[in-house]
Amino acid sequence: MKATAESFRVHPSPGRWIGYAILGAFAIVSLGPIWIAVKTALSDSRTLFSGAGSFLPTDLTLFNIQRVLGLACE
Amino acid sequence: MIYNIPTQTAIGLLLAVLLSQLRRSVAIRSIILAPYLIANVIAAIIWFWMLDPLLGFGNVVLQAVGAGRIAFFSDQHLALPTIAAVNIWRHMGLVAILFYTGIQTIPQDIYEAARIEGAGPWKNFSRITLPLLRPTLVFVLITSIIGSFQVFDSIAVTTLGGPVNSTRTIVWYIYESAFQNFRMGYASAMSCALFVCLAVATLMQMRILSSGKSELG
Repeated sequence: MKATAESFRVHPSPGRWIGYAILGAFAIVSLGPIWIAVKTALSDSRTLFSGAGSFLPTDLTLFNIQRVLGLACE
Repeated sequence: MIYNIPTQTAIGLLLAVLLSQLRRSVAIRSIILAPYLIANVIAAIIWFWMLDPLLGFGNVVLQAVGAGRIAFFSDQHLALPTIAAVNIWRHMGLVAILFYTGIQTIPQDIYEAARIEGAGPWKNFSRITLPLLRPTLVFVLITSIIGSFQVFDSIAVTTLGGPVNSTRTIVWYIYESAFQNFRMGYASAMSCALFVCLAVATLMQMRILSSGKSELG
């Protein structure tokens, strides 16, 4: 029988997958609040309250970033 | 302190073991350390905004799953665990990395010898990893205890010691005494007492856990 690359590939055990799943969950927990801060920075202040439950910026704008960099003023 | 230290240490240890077992975890190592790079005040503000009862992302999600809106920071029984959770979120990555570096110093031949003897993963952890991690564990426990006594900024930007004094920590009480009630002498005496208590607790911990002695010799 001819050996193929597939036959030599080591498949991760279920325990390993569970380990990766736990690490992935903690990675999401770690980055989630930081993403919410980024999302808020990229959202328009007027639509901020209506889109509170959205995981993406509701009305994408760079105005807040520009204000931080001194490129725009209110 | 009751919420903070056991949870933080257990999560840190779990993450460290997983990180050392799974080789493709370099990116995750960086990600879980990210909250520690944020200032305490900013972390508290982010969570305060996220858990706002009316507009917070967390509460919107909770309502969507049918759990209803919860006033995490203004409920007398939930405020302190919530502040503890914010601190755990911020520090768990650092604790995990400290444990991870401790695990890296354990010689692999000890594990190989145990494998030959027929030891399983749990025995490896309880009989090799945990005893050899003792100096790291002592360091983590001491810094966690000192850190949990010094929680101030996350309270200052969220609950201001309330509701009904449920989040009034020692350092917040010292601040209130000194700068709100202008009892400077009393506050200074409490600061000195806190320093002595922490020093004694640290020495006792080092003595009990024999921090200077390693099983590796």
